[in-house]
Amino acid sequence: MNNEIQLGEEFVNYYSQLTQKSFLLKSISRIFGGASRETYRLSLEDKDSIETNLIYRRSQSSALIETDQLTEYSAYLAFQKSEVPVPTTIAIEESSDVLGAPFIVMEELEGVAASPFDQEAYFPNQETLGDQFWNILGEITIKDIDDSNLASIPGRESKSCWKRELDHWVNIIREDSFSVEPILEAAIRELYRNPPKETEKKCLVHGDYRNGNFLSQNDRIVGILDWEMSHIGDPLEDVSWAMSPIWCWNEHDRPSYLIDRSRAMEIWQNKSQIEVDADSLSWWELFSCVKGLAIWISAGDEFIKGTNTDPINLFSAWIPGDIHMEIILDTLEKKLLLR
Amino acid sequence: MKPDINIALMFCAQEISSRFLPLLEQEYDQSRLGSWGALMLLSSLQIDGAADNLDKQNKLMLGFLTKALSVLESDQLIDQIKEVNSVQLSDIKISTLDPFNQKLRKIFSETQQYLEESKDSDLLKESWIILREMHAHRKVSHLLDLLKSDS
Repeated sequence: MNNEIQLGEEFVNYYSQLTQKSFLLKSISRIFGGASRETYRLSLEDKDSIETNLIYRRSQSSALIETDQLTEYSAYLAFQKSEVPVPTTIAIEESSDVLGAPFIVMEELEGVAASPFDQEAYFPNQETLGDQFWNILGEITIKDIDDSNLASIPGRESKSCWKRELDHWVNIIREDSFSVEPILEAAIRELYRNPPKETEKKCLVHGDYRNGNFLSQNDRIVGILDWEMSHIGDPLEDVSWAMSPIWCWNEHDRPSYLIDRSRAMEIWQNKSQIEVDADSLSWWELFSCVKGLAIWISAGDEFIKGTNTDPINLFSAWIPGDIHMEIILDTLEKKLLLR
Repeated sequence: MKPDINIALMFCAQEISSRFLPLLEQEYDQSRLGSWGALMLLSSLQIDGAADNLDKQNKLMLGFLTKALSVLESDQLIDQIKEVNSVQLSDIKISTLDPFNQKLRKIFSETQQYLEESKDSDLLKESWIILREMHAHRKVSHLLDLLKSDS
């Protein structure tokens, strides 16, 4: 029996006990679902041959960015049957005792997750999807963070949102760096020297809101995924991450290859009722590069050490790492010339 | 003349994509092998110039740091720059050039920080030109479109 089938059989036993119903494993296949989780699509069948399709997300022993399952699951719980489409949650197991690793289970959503580097991924529905994408981000921003489902989401207690995030990602860079990057170091110095205004309204931050992290069916967004980095913080963090040129490398003014930047900003501001401070947004845009590089450096570190030789880790260190470095170069060169 | 390593890697990448990838059933396995093929293709395009790129970066940094000596007042930085200037590398293998590159990068970064604090804008601007050039010697992001068209 190969590993995947064994995982599937163990899961079916667990799921049958959970639902007090007997199921058989019809199929199990691994899918991409972020580098910090092993994600499987399972099809189960009950005695009446009725099929149930599930997503089973297990923590990896070697995860790119250490995040706990409860964070992601809490965010999904908070948005069940809301304007923010998410998969229906079924179960969470935080201990490794049950199936060898912490995991969450959700119903499978039908839809397509595009590559964030594919310029034509959403053609011809980019306008409609873009409207939804930025409206949904506005919905996330206005979510009541006192919702009991969000109680375990980190970041609530911090006095300074920007400092908490910057310290966090710089620490990861310090721990995982295998080379000296003067461009990155200059960006870090710039961010600490010229901090943004503290946000007047702390909100839920998705943490990785961009193209590639949502499912769509033709002209409809059917699911916002990959909430494992969510936290309470500054709403501009998500806005700047989604707008980062890395997610629209061939067309910088059409963030996430959806609608143009000014229209996107207008939709988000209308929904969130937040007036954007241009200097603060610039700070968060540069911060996005540092955060991105922390993730890509961490990926490279896993690859070099041999703890996770998934080629996505090599790709991340090579290509997105280069792109974020180039965005920093462009940004800081411009700043220098203006001084 | 026997075939070069980069040519071998390129054909290997093509075989992975065209011959072996279609044999896999699972979407994840296909995707993973496809990524290896693409990354191997990318490596085949980079391997030939890798040592030369490192050497050029090192020369650029050494040139800049030597020039910066005239304005630096930090004894520690001055000593470090003098030390790297006196280094004679035993060969031009990547495994020799790369550690030296790391050493230079560290001093370069510290020098840039010094210039930011002393507000020496001319040399600072020059440092960014050097970084831009170094980045051009190393980057592979421009091959993204090529990978997409290959897959």
